[in-house]
Amino acid sequence: MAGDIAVEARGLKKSFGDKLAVHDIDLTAREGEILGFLGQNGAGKTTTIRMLLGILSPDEGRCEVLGSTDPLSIAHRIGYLPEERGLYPAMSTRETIAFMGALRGLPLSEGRRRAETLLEANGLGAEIDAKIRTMSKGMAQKVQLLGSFVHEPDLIILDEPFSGLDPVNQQALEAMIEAERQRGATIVFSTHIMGHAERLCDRLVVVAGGRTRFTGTVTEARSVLPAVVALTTERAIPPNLLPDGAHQVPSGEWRFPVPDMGVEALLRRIIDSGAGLRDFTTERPTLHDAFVEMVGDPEADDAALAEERQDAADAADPGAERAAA
Amino acid sequence: MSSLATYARGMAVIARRDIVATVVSKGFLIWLATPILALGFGLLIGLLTGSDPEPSAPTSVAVIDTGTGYADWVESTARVERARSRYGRLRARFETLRPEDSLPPELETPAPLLSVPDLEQLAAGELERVETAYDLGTGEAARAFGLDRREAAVTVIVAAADPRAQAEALLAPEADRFGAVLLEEEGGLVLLRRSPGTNIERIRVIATTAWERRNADRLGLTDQLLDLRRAAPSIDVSVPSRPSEPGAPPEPQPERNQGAESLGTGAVMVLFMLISLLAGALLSNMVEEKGNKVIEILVASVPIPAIFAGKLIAMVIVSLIGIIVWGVLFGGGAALLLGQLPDGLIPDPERGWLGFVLLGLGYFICAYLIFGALFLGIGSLCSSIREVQTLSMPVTILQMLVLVLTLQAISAGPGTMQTVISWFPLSAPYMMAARAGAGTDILPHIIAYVWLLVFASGVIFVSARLFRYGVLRSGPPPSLKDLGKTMKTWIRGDVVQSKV
Repeated sequence: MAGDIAVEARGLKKSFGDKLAVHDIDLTAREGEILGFLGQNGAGKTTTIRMLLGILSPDEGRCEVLGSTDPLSIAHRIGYLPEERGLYPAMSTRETIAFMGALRGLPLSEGRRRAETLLEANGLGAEIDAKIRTMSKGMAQKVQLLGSFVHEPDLIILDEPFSGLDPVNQQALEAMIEAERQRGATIVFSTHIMGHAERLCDRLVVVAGGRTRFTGTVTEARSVLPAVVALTTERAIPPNLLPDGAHQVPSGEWRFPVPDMGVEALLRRIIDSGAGLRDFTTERPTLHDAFVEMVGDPEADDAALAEERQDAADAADPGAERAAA
Repeated sequence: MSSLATYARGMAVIARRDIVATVVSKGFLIWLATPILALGFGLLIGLLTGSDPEPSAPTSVAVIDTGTGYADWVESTARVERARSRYGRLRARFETLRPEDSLPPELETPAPLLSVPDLEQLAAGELERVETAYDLGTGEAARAFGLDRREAAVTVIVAAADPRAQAEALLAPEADRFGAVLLEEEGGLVLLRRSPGTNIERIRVIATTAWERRNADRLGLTDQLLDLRRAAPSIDVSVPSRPSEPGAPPEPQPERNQGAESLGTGAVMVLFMLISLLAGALLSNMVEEKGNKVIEILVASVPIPAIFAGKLIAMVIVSLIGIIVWGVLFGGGAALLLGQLPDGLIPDPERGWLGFVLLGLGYFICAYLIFGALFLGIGSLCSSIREVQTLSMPVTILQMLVLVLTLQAISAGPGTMQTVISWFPLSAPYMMAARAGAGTDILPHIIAYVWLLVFASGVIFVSARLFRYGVLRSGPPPSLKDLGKTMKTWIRGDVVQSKV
């Protein structure tokens, strides 16, 4: 039933020797939603996911998945794509998907039948009998993703599903995830690439340093930071009119958070001062900005930022992206 | 789904995958071909290290008849000496096959004491009669397998004008018929051989004996020598009686059963080979799964003990498949070969072949569970084949030590060493499999099975914990010191991961 709790974790704590991997993580995923689990590298996402799946036992706290505290006993209702992809190189794609289904209780014959259908539906019909070792990384990752939901699970947990994929395959993977949501599955996926979270997720959980820093929708996450005003004038703005936090970028543009008085009142004052308004926009903060604000280390995820910017560029010109691919 | 059903399902899926993956791999084909390779290798080594590059040389000797009659004496001596050898073998076979029985009158005399007339009689058909009468058949099959090869076949050749040149011509490489040529020359004997490696010991004995016999005959001593031989007193054979304390039980004499010893050694070697090969396959499989990260998908879907058990079971089934394939491929040939071999050449187990094989199979499973679990636990701690080799080295050395000690205990016969080796759990499966070939008692085997299964359960428990501890680890394996320090963690059943 939509709206019921599919995954709930409270106060999770896990350490390995002296290393505290997860300090205090709370996480709730409602049935039928896509929950983004965001955090930097080493934030404790994989450890948390492993605790949700019953691979690791938490030192403290509790978690409940689909109403059970023993996830292995309901393995047939869960699909999982680990971050470190693992497939048997000598197995065919059909057998791989059927095997992954069999691990979660799907009879092999049914698994093979569904594998063929899934492979056909996802553009891999010609690769049904191909060995994994002959496939590209993107194709193998698609096969593994198909294997993680061949048994039509109620809950799908994906650990960094987009990492290492080219934009075309990332888009294909997004479509596959969206299709599973349409089927009614709850999806939890971890990522540090904000573009995917922004496009796919109903809600987000942001973790940093092994703790939950934020839980809410994408819009709520963006609201962590105020909108930014960017304006350019013909002449200098009298300093007393500039709100707190205003700064001028090299192009001459002024940037500052929306002031308490409101945008309209500020603009009127600037126009009245004779500065001459040339250009004006109000920008909502991106999820990336909000994420950096939340985790508190803007330099920590340069790679993710670069990846996200590339995503944005590719999304703006998908034709070029396909040609490049 | 109940946890038991989850466990059983997961175990079956893992086992099935491992069986299919192993059976269709090149490695398995090589494993299946091991007996053929071993046979081929043995033949190659035999060919390369054989003492005589000309196999026919020692058994094919020409004697040049220079008209002195010596060649006939050589031919006669070779015939009677051949009869003496065959008689000696029949006598030994009788003792091997019927250790409880006394030698019959026909075989009572030791072979070296037989006189020429006795030997002539044996060569004239008496040997065949004795062989049939006491079912000692070496017959054609024995000859086909070369059991008569020690006896030189002598061919008499009439001398030409230059016997020495004739002899050299007979040994020319292109002639390729004789290994040696014997001729009488100026009152002495000359023996030419094809190469320095040609075995001439036997023909020297025959040549000298023939020389003595001819000279004795010339001097009219043959009958006197025969009379002397016949007049020799019969030797009274007995065991001296020892004073013993009143009421003391007779001192037990360890019995040595050559047949059971051979069977035991064979069983131990087969078991050792199977265990070593399977343990290797198990290790490489484990390292592959850790290397390609499949292991995380497995542990997220199936309880870790079920993965562990599935892998162990898979390898047992793989080995049984191997044994069945060997049976089908080579069994017919082996049976045909065994049927052709003389009775008793391969001894029959006292409890029968079925009982022996079933007991051996049980010990194989016990040994595999112990060593397989050990290797699987070790494999889970490693990330590469090199690490596996380093970490499994102590277990491999231990296995070798166990093999050596077991073989030594088998050859030492019943005694303290055999008892210790029979109960020490790492050597017990081998030793008890060897002991299954001797005697018909079943109770010691039932006790041994119980003991081994209890011990195997302990090893599986510890190894499964190690497996759980190490299965998601990456990087170099922990040292023994680290394992000791973290023992509380892994015995408790915690999984350790390298990635956060």
